[in-house]
Formats: sequence, structure tokens, C-alpha cells
Amino acid sequence: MSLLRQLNPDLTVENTVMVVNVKKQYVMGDTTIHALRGVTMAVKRGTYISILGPSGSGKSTLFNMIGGLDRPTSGEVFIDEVDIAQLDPYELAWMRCRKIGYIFQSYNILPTLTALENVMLPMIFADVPQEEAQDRAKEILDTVELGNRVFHTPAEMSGGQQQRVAIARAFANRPAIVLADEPTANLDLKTGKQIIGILRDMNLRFGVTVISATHDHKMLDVSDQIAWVADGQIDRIEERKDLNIKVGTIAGDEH
Amino acid sequence: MRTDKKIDRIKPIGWRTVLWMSYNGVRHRAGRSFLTFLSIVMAVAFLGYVLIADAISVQMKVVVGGEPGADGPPLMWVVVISLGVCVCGIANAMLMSVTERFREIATLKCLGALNSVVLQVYLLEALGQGLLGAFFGTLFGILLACIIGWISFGSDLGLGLPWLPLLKTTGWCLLTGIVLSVLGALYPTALAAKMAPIDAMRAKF
Repeated sequence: MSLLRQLNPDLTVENTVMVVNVKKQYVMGDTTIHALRGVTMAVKRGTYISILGPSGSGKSTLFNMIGGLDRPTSGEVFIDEVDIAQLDPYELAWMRCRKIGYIFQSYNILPTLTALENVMLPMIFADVPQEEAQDRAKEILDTVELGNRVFHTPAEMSGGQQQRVAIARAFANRPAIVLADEPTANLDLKTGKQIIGILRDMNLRFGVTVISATHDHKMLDVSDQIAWVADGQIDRIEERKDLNIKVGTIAGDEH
Repeated sequence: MRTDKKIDRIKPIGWRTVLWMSYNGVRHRAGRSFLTFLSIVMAVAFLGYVLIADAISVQMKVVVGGEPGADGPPLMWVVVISLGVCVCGIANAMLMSVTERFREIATLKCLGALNSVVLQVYLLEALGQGLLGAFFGTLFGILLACIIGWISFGSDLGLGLPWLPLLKTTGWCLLTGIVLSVLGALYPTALAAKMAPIDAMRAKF
């Protein structure tokens, strides 16, 4: 717990995510792969943080740990003050349902359901009454500018529209954190920018912590913090204000 | 938001939602679901036909005369093989439907679905197809046996229609259809329910 105290004297109160000395090893045949070699980091409530790193750096592993999708070999991961390694399946499901919103590279909207039903689903799992879920889903689809596509199925929507449904779904239960895994990788430049804009807007509107793994440099423009992962460790965490000049050149490169 | 309880357990989602989800799954894959349904219909119809045709021939020998059961046992081993083929067919179809939906299942789990929810949805899908298939299969099998009996025995059939075996066979056929579909769905369903969300996230198609 001493590490925790160093990170935050108030002991996690302000932090939605705490990662404390997390290590992850995979055994493949005779060799042990050290995906994470002791990562410690804290993410403050309402922060928009991007995790960057080359493939094989441990970026995805770290991301999955924070999302409760993978368990660390050693160390602890706290989401909203709860150590997720300690949870039983029912509690973990509750956590995924209520505290964490997921946005995927390939949208992962359920093809059998309409936009409205897709956004309602996490609320139904959270035991929200049908009518209330419907009203709230409509409202949130309005905020991602899909109010006129409520009854469309994924097959009738473009990639950008599907990703907006995914964003609406991720924010449906007002989670503590939203995890976005390469949310713009399958989209063109313009649509990608639009998605990032919506994500940032939702982040500010609801005060939800957004954590995204990305290669997309457009993302850096809106991030409060950027965590660089290399060789299973956090190389450095930069604040956006220190990055302003660099972001300017990257934005200039796009034209 | 700070007044929220720190941790709770997920509540069961209720049979309405499970029913709705399985119905959607079957409807979305209408073609494949229909094939599974057909294989159950045919297997059950075969079983029903063999049982009833045998019962009719035994009965008619009593009515019309002759030695009962002279034909020997019905082709039960062929029936058993056909049922086995049917189970394999269902397992295959369900397995495809599971692999096709890896990502969907993973997404559901990320949204807060328990293993048991996935299990219930898939078993209900199989059960629905099994029930419907067994009903039509029984109907076809018995009708066919009666028609063929009527062709060979003419109006005499009315005297010797074996009502008790008819009822018994109907029960057996329905039960067989349901057992077949659940048996075939068991392994694929367990596979789907146990799948970790992270595995499916990596699955690329």
C-alpha cells in the first residue's frame, strides 16, 4: 500500500484507475514473455488519456488489464477503488456493466439489434426498467447525433455511424471509465476526427475518464495525457500542455 | 456518482430478455436455423414412421389374420444411426453459429453478460428449434405411416388403427426431438459460455 500512498496521498479518492506494480508473463513453450514488467500509474477522474506504443510493447496487455479483461500475474489494478483481481464472476460482470464502457476497433455492434436496442442492452443488463432504458437510450443517441437513426440496424449504417452507436452504448450506464481500443483504426480521416470529437465531448460532458489505446496521432490533440509504453514499462507520461508544439506539426502534416 | 456503491453483483436478466435474445439469434440466421430444423424434422419423422408402421402391421395382422410380428423387429438400428447423424448435424450447425458469433458473445460479456446468460440464450435457441422440429417431424412421420397403411390395407385400417401405440409414439418422438437438439447443442454452447471476452476480441474474420 505504500506505493499507493506515494501516488496519491488521499488514497485513490481522485483516481478512477490505479495500476500498482503490475506484471504479466506469458509462458510459451520454454520461453517466458514479459509483457508487463512492473507498471505503476494512476489516472485521475475525468482525464482523457491515450496509451501509445509500438506493437509488442505491452500496450494492449496494459489496456486489457485496466479493462478487467485480463488478470495480472502480480500487482493490483483498482478501478474506482475496487481491486478487480479480487472479484468473483458476478461482481466482475457488474463491474463491466456499470463501471466500464468499451469501444472497439471493429465497433462490435450486435447485428441482430437496432441502434436503440444496442444502446439499451447494457441498461437492461444493469436492471434498468424497459421504458426508462428506452428514454435514456434515445437521449444518448441524440447526443451522438443519431437521433434520426434510432431504428436502423448495423447493416443500414456506415462505419462512422456504427462507431457512434458504440460510443452511445459505452456511455449508457454512466460508467467510471470508457476504454477505447483503436476506435478510429477502421475509419477514414474525416470520420475518425468526428469520432474523436464526439468522444472528447462525451468525456467533458459526463466527466468520464477515457482511456484509449491508439496509433492515431489525431487522438493526441484532444488527450489530456499521453502514456508512452515501451518494452513492458511506462516510458513516460506527458501532459498535453507540454506537447502543444509537437501536436501542431502533426496536425499540419495531415494536409 | 460518488454515492454509488463501490461494488455489487450483477442481477439475473430475466427470461423475457433471454427469450428475446434467442429469438433474434434464430431470426437473424433464418437459413441456417431452418436447415437445423429440417434435419430434426426428418430424423423424428423417420422414427415416428418406423414405429407407427410397425404398430399398424402388427395390429392389422390381428384384425385381418396372419401371424403377428412375422416381419421381425423394425429397422431400429437404422433409426438409431439416423438420429446419430442428426445430432452431429445439429452440433455442426451450432458450432458454426458459435464461431460466427465469437465477437458477439465477447461483446455481450463486456456489457455484463454472465456465462449462464450465454448458456441460456444458446440452449433456448436449440430447444426452440428442437420443439418445432419434433412437432412437425412427428406429424409427418405418423401421417406418412397412416397413408401407407391405408394404401396397403384400404378402409380396413379404420378397424385396426393402433390408438395407444399412436399416442405413445407421439410422446417418444417429441421427447427424442428435444433431446436430440439439446444433445447436439451442448458442446458448442459450453464452448461459447466459457469463452473469455479477451480471446474473442483478438479473433479477426
